[in-house]
Amino acid sequence: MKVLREIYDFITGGSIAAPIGLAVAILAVILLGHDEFSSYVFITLILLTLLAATREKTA
Amino acid sequence: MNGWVLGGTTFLASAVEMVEAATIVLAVGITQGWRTALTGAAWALLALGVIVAILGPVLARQGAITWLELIVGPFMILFGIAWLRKAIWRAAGRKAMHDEQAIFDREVAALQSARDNRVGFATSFQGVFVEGLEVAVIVVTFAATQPLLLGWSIGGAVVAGLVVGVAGFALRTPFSKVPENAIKAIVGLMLLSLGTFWTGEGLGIAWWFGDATLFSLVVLYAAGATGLTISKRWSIAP
Repeated sequence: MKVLREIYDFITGGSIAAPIGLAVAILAVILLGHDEFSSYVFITLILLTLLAATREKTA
Repeated sequence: MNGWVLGGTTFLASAVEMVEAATIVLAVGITQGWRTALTGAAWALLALGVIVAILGPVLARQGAITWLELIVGPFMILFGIAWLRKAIWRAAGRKAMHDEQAIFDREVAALQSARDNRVGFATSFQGVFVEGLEVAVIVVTFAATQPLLLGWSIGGAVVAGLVVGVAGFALRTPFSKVPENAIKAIVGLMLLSLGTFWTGEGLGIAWWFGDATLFSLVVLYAAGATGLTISKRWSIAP
């Protein structure tokens, strides 16, 4: 369990918001298609993920 | 994709991680002797080299195909967010700046009580390996998506390692004046932008300006990160 936690922290920096936000952004593109609009949605969601990650408790 | 972009990113990532590793190696060298410190560091570099030498060409041979971009891209995004948010926290004053001198003093104090050379070897090995592992992962993932530029990404990391290693050995003091946070912010921005670009390509998005879209992403994320830093400063200010 501790090893899994270490791997998770190594990849995400201990953030919970980052993987969730990224998954939502990828899902949005899959659902919306590959046009220009979905690229804007994708980038906006990544920016919102960064915002959410910076609002988390300091690691 | 331009080789300078990948080489520059691995150079900066490697430089900032090796600065941190050099502090630990210096502490071991001063307290337990340079032979122990350099042996530990050399074994760690060898282990990292083996990881890159095995995984880099294997992934590079797969070619820059969609499924690899879909695996590598999200990793880059997560790495980028992790680097960037720490840089934002530090720039905004929410997290203490990385103080190499304080880390050096702490390591020296801990090592002075340890008589066994194996502790020094393990500390040196772990310091270099842990700090270098993220760079190794970055280099390997770059190789997966841009196989023709494998030399650039390895070269950037190796040059940075050499520069920091030689400077550290010559100066024999911690690099307390290196602007680590600014470098970390740049690396975070590059990883986030490259990750977004590759994930988008993997998902089938046709980017507006082709490869040049990467620079638009860097500018956009830099503006976002600057805005977040300013807003965090305001929210923390009394």
